[in-house]
Amino acid sequence: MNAKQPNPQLTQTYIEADLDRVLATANDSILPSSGFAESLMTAVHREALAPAPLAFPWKRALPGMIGAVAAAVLLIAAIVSFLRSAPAPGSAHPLAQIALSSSPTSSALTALFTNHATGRGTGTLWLAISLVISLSCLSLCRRLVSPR
Amino acid sequence: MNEDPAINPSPSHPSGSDDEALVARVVAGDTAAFEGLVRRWQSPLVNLAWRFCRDRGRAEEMAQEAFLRAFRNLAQFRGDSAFSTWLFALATNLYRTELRRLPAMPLSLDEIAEPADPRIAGAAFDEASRDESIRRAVLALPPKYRDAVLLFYFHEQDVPSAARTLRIPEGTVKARLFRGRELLRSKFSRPRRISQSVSQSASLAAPHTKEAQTP
Repeated sequence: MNAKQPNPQLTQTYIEADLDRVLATANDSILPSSGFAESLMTAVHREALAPAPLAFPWKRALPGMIGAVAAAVLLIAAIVSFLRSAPAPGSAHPLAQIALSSSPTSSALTALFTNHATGRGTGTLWLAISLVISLSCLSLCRRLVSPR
Repeated sequence: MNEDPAINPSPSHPSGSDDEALVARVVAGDTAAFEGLVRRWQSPLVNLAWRFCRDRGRAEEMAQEAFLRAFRNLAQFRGDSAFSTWLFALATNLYRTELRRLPAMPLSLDEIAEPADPRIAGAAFDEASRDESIRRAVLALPPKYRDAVLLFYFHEQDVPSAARTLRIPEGTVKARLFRGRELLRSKFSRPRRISQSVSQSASLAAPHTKEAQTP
């Protein structure tokens, strides 16, 4: 009747022994097919004859990338300025007001956004930004693909 | 050294110390010298892949890709470790990535059938399927435990070699090995499933095992 409920300790011993037996290297190996080395060497020779992959043109791309990062930073700064200038002038924190008024760039951007918010020059700012980004992308692409 | 061809290099090259010389020739532009490395290490690399996927065709494809990657990156081999260590680590990394992309064992550990209990007389005939169940269960382990178990046995139960191939500390290999074995033990020693397995085996077995059946 003991056969109905195997001893867990004994079962574990069997599992350990089975693992060692089943997974031992000698019991679990195959031989490569006969043409393996030949087909591999064909692939290696093909690989050796193939031209080296083109390196990424960092020197050419760098100015464009710096420009793109600068544009992104400017855009974020403009958005932050716009969001800060949204509340009534009296409700903003005094330090924030000083910071905003001290920067000519942010003041100009704020003015543009304000014009946008009041309906004057609607879309002008966004049109300008999208034009700048498009031109940057275009010039970057031309720079990357043009012959050296 | 063990003479098992699954892990040890082919004896066709009498000297085992010329790997570095072959590497130097290949790096210098002698592509044909790479064949020496291929002939020497094809069996271990195919066998390592076989352990990861249990599919001969796929194992050879993965081993071929590993050799090609080794060829491309041979200049990065600095000789800090043995060439075999570098090659096995590169191949293992590739095989693991391949298995993440297309798993060899799409079942979970719970879905793998338990092997028949070998203490039941009638189950003896089913040894092959029992072995297969164990292999499938190992492949269904979570990858970090599976890798530790496979590499431990591939390296003839040598923890330091498995650790070097996996590029992790020996202690981590031991811990993962312990946990992997524990998962397998817990799977194969569940009372309900074992008794079910016993019942199935006994029903297929000769009449003298009938008393072992569950009511």
